[in-house]
Amino acid sequence: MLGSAELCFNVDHGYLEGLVRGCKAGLLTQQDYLNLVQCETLEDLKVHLQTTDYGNFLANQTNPLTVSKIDTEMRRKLCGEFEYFRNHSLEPLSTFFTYMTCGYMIDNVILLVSGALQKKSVRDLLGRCHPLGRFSEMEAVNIADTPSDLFHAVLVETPLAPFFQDCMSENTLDELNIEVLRNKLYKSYLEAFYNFCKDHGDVTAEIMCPILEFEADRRAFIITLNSFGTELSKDAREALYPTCGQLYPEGLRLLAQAEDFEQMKRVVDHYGVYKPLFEAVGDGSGGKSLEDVFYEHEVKMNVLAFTRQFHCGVFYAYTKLREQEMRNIVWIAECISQRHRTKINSYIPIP
Amino acid sequence: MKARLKGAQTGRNLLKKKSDALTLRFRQILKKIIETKMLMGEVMREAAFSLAEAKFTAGDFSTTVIQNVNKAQVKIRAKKDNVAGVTLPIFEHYHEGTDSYELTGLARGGEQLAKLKRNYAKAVELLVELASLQTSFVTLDEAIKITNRRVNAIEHVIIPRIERTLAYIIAELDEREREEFYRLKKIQEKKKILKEKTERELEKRKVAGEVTEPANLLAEEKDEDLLFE
Repeated sequence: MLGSAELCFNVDHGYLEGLVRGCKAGLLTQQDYLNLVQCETLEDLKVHLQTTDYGNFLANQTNPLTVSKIDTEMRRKLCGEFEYFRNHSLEPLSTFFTYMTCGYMIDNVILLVSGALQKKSVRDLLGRCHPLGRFSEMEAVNIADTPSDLFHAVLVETPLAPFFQDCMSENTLDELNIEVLRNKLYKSYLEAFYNFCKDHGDVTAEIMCPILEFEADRRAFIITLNSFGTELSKDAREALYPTCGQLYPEGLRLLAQAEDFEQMKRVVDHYGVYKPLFEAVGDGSGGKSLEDVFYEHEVKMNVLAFTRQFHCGVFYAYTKLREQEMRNIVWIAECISQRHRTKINSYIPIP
Repeated sequence: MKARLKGAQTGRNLLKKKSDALTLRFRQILKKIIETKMLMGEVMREAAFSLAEAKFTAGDFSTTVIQNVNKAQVKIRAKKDNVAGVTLPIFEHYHEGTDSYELTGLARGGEQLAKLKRNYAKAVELLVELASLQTSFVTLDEAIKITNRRVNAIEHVIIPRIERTLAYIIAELDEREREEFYRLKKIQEKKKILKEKTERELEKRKVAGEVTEPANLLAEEKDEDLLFE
């Protein structure tokens, strides 16, 4: 039913949507960024951040203030907000939230697996996991000796199990390079997420599907770009491309054959959305890199998500925008602390 | 003795030459160290900044890197270099094994990570060079101190000692010669006085007629023993 979104959404999720819109209004504006850029030391930065929505989050920090402390505190704040949303959510929003955390869970699992294989202490590893990707079986990781044991014992219980099953049979888990494994997991995750959003229908599908398609294509481009000159074969590369994007199937096949950046650009000529992005890429150190261009596009799409109401995409968009803001602040803080101000304006502004 | 003096002087000249050569090399190394250290500052700054850039694009990959560490990729060999008899260690780096972090950042930030790897590799090479320079600096410093000490010792202690000994010997010899001479002269004087004394006495006796001259065989005109003339 076409009107079902307006009718039913607010019953379950209206409070949270209102909350998230309020939080979004508290994101740093261009004026705030201008103020931050003019700071001379990290202490000034802290003072400026106190006037924004961040408040006194750095109040309990002892001297000296380092960039990593700022980063940890910001992440903790984001995590607090996210957990709050999650705890108050109902179906299907809670499944949506679980999907969102799967991405971070994949990173954590890879970290734990590689650490457990090298018999490192579990305590340190747990401290370094991304807080948004926490799951209850994390401490049990050190009981397993090989990846297949790990899978059977621990990971079967987590939401990541279907992704592992998609990728491969268990005996190939042992030989696989850890990065390839990470990318394969992420591919199945993205496809599952995309199908979930599509099945959900309504406004959520309208908003989330383009965002996820862009994410899939972006991964395909970046993987291609970064695998030039490495030992990754073309078939292996093709197996890592998520198939839920606009490039599927023709574009992906062409990309897999590409040898350098020029060939990639020619593939893109067929797709109107990405052509202007590639045009905007500068060369070498002067202009923007491809990744910067992609980040800007992502930010644009996320901001557009807020123009529609009654869908779950606002939460995704808000989390992503918050993360981008954290990255910006860390970048500015690093430039200030290293006194290297030439590129301080290369953060991605959020309109 | 003179030979010893000559030997000492030659030794001192040789050592001075060695010390000069070492000092020259020392100054060269010092200049290079200053240059390298300035370059080091620049390179480290650039490397730290590229780390910040990579973190911006790729997120936090530090844990991944730390987990996957196993063997060192860049290793160092020590070679020896000889400068005027002093052996200096020189470190040379070589690559071993493949890059185990080739696929890190495959999904995001690979370009920045590649730049980061290059920058830090440059920094490591510079560090190795700086290490060689500094060890040679310290070793050369020691060697120069020792050599200078030896040169000074020879110059201010050994050679003067030998010279003083030589001078003393020469002075003694001269003195003895003078003594000998004096003695001879004194004896001659005494002999002369004695001779004069006896002559005077003889004169005196002759005048008093006590002493006849003994018959002068040659002046005799008549010989009593001849029977027939």
